[in-house]
Amino acid sequence: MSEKIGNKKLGQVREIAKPFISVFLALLCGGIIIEIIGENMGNIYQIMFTGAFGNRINIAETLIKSTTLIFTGMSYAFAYKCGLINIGAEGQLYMGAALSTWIGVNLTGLPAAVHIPVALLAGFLGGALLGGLVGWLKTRFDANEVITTVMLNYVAQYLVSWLVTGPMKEQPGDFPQTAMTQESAYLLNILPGTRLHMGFVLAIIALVLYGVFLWHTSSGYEMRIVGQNNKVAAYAGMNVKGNVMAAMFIAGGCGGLAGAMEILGVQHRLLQNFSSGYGFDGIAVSLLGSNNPLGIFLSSILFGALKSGGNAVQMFSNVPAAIINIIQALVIIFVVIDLVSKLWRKKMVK
Amino acid sequence: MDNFNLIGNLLLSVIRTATPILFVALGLLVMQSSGIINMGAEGMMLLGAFVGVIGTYWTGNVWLGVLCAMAASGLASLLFSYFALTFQVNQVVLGVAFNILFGGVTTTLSRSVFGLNSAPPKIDGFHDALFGLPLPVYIAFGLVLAIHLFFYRTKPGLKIRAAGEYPQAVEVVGLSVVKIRLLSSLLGGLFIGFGGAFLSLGQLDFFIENMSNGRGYIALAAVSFGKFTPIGTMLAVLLFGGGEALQYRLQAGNSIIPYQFALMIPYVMTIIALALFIRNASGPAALGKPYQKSH
Amino acid sequence: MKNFFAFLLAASITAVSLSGCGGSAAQSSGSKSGDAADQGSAASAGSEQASESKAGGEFKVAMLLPGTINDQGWNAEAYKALQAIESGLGAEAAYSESVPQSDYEQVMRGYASQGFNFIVGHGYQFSDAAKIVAKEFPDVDFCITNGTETQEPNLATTSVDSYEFGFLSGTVAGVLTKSKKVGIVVGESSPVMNAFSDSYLFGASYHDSSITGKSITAGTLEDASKCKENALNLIDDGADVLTQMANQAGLGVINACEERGIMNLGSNGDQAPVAPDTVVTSVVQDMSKAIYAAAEKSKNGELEAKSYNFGIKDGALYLTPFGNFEDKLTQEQKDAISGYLEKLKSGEIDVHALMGK
Repeated sequence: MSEKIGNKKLGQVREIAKPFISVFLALLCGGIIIEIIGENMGNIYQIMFTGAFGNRINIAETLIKSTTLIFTGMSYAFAYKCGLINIGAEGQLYMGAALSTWIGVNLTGLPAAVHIPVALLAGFLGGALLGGLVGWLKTRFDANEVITTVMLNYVAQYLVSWLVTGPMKEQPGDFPQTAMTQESAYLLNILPGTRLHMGFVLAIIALVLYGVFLWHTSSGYEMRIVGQNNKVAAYAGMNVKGNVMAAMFIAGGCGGLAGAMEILGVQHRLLQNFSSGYGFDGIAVSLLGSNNPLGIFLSSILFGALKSGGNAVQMFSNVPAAIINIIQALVIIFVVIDLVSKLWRKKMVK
Repeated sequence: MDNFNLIGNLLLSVIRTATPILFVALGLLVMQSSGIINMGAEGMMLLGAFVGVIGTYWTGNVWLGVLCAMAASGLASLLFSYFALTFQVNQVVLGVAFNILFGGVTTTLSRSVFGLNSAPPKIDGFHDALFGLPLPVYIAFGLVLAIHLFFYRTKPGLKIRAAGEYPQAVEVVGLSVVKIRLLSSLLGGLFIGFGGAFLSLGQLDFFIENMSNGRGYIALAAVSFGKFTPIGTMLAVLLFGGGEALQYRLQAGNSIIPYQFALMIPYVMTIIALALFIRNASGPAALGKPYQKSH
Repeated sequence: MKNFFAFLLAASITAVSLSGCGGSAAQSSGSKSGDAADQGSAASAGSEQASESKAGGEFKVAMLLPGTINDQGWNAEAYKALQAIESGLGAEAAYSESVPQSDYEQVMRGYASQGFNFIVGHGYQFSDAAKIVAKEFPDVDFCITNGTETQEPNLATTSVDSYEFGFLSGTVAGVLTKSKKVGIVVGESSPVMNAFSDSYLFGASYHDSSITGKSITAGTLEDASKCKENALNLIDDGADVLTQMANQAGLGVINACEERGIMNLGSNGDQAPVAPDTVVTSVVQDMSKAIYAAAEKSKNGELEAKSYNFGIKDGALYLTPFGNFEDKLTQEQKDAISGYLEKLKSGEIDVHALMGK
């Protein structure tokens, strides 16, 4: 009896220790590369850690990146739960950004309490319309969503490029960018002295809603059943097409909100190519977090920290951006293959 | 005569654009048929493009360079599947990581080998062999036929498809699903490497950072579009190449449409064609799912 | 999922432990670490990196780049400028490449708070971030290349004249073309590329109004193969002189010209080494002139919050020697080209007035 309890405790310790060891191994591997290019591993990781969590400002920068990643991550996760592979968060982010910029720039004289929600809603709609298009193509024409989302990413980016060089271009001005949004559409700051905006809180609320909807409502349950087996769902009288449509619409909306966060919270005007691949990172954020709210939250922090810390490493050392990318990839690979638990499992079996 | 030239040039343009994507798409097709979904093709293609140039640069022979590229991407692909199968991890996220990884690796190596701020070293790439097209183009289209025959006329081909469709059945007759998938990945990786090498050695004579520029994702879409058959995949790639060629043509002609809309053409065309003509394009049943041996 | 509960903690503790043990190692090796860094990066990334080591002078310069330092174009030119500043002004230099748009502010603020004296944002898109950060650090000089917005007391812009740049290239193309058709491939719609393209076409037809020109936007700065295909289409259309401005993707245009045996004009830096029998001459946009001048002013405490412009007369734009084409060009062509150069230098031709820009 007491032996069993001991085993259980050991198991818990191992569960907690596992990710530490994974990240440690990845950083160690990256460290070897850093040493090869002639830099000091300890130095670099110190810079990286300070850059991500060293002070208020840096923590805020990490969380700002997490905010956008939570939304793109949810975009992938929501579709995933309904059995769809949504590679299109990047395009949805572009459309969301475009629409929320339009509202942010052109609606004047509104109080922030009205302007911000309207601009956010526009962002949601921008992405949701693109996601909805994917859903419509899927349900109406049975068009594979992997293909349509990949293709629409390009379409959305070119569309934004056209908007900022054409109809939405700042007047007068020579640059391919829109005017600044009204200050009433700036997301409110929640940590004075930093850039951290209320989007972070909204992201957490969205994650909670996401969790409640999928796991604690009957519509969410239905959506997950459709995702698991749409034949069974259809047999049980569920509306498969309606669910697919709804899932893609909401997933697109999440992607759109990511774009709105970037514009309303960080950049305040739209330029072409303004995203640094948050849409694609969202896929990894979502899957690394097993598509559940807490998991997405934690992996978005990890990714935010890697980006924020990576910036610092570039700034204050001779390690080029490419090496930082390699380290980030190693962290994902080591965490996802979870070498440690595989080894432990083998031992236990023996 | 002018129109004849125009059409001829357009066709050449289609084929040039399509060839590197076709190689990668065929590689992905082999992998996907066995049940492996490889989102990392973009990075592996980039690796092939880089190693192809390095190999040619060091050996002085473009074919040896291609062999190096195939070996590199083949190994990368094998590693990918090894991780995916033995550790049963999510293949999509692993693919994303591989893309980031090889983007960083090729950039770092290329800077360390060729240095910064200098013209990329001249190497002797492929020359036009027949009808204004280099030899690998014919190899790519020949591969379509070869894979078609391999898939539908040979036992190993059947085994690969079975591993993707009914892995349990494969196991029942005493074959190893894991082994079949690993071998398919190696084979697919070789093609992906050739595709990368064609980009750097067939179309240009040099490597530049991130030159694959999304072709890996297009190839992935092409396989689904082609309903997971070699001929269908080829048609999908040609359709996309056709859209690109049309776009080039439109921009070179006197068009008044904003360039962004010209650039959208291949993507929009693909979506429309998909919706109207292809419709259901579901893949092998066990695609992307880790396989757990039943004991 | 369970793996994830301890993610944050895991990352932080491992980082701390790694940095902890590394920190002591760095101290024990002391002065050696600097040398090691030099040697290592020299071996791995060419000698350029070695000069990056953060040692020496009081004047600290940081640069933010939108792309990679190896792009054979816009960013590579800025990187050259940074190296020139480092050796010429004895400055301590740092850079960040491929900085994402949402991180401009973070990176600028990071440099400013770490005691850098002069911070360059390489491109108009850095203006917004610079305006904010410059206010917070009044003692730090900020400079935006090819921007238009300045801000008292410490935000200046510096630029090389993109219109003169394109016009010069266009007139050379006009002199060289036999088919009376010239072409240009640019990477994307940006102020520099648009101005270059417009004035290139204008310059060609200024030389001979019967010359027609065509400009294509490839929509990429990385896909050389795509640019090559664009160039081939222009050549199929009859163009016999091409130029390009698409950073490294532009190399595809030179490759197309080489394959079809037509002439090419290099841009940004000297591109003749890429294809000596194809590139007749390169119009060099010497960003280091513009950035170096601003840095020098900043070092001497003379940088004003205004726009500094450099053009042909300042030596910031020039043509490289004809190289392999020295014997292939007729004296007439050479005279015509040097004629334009002289007129631009003396101000007899005022591109801005001509184009109404």
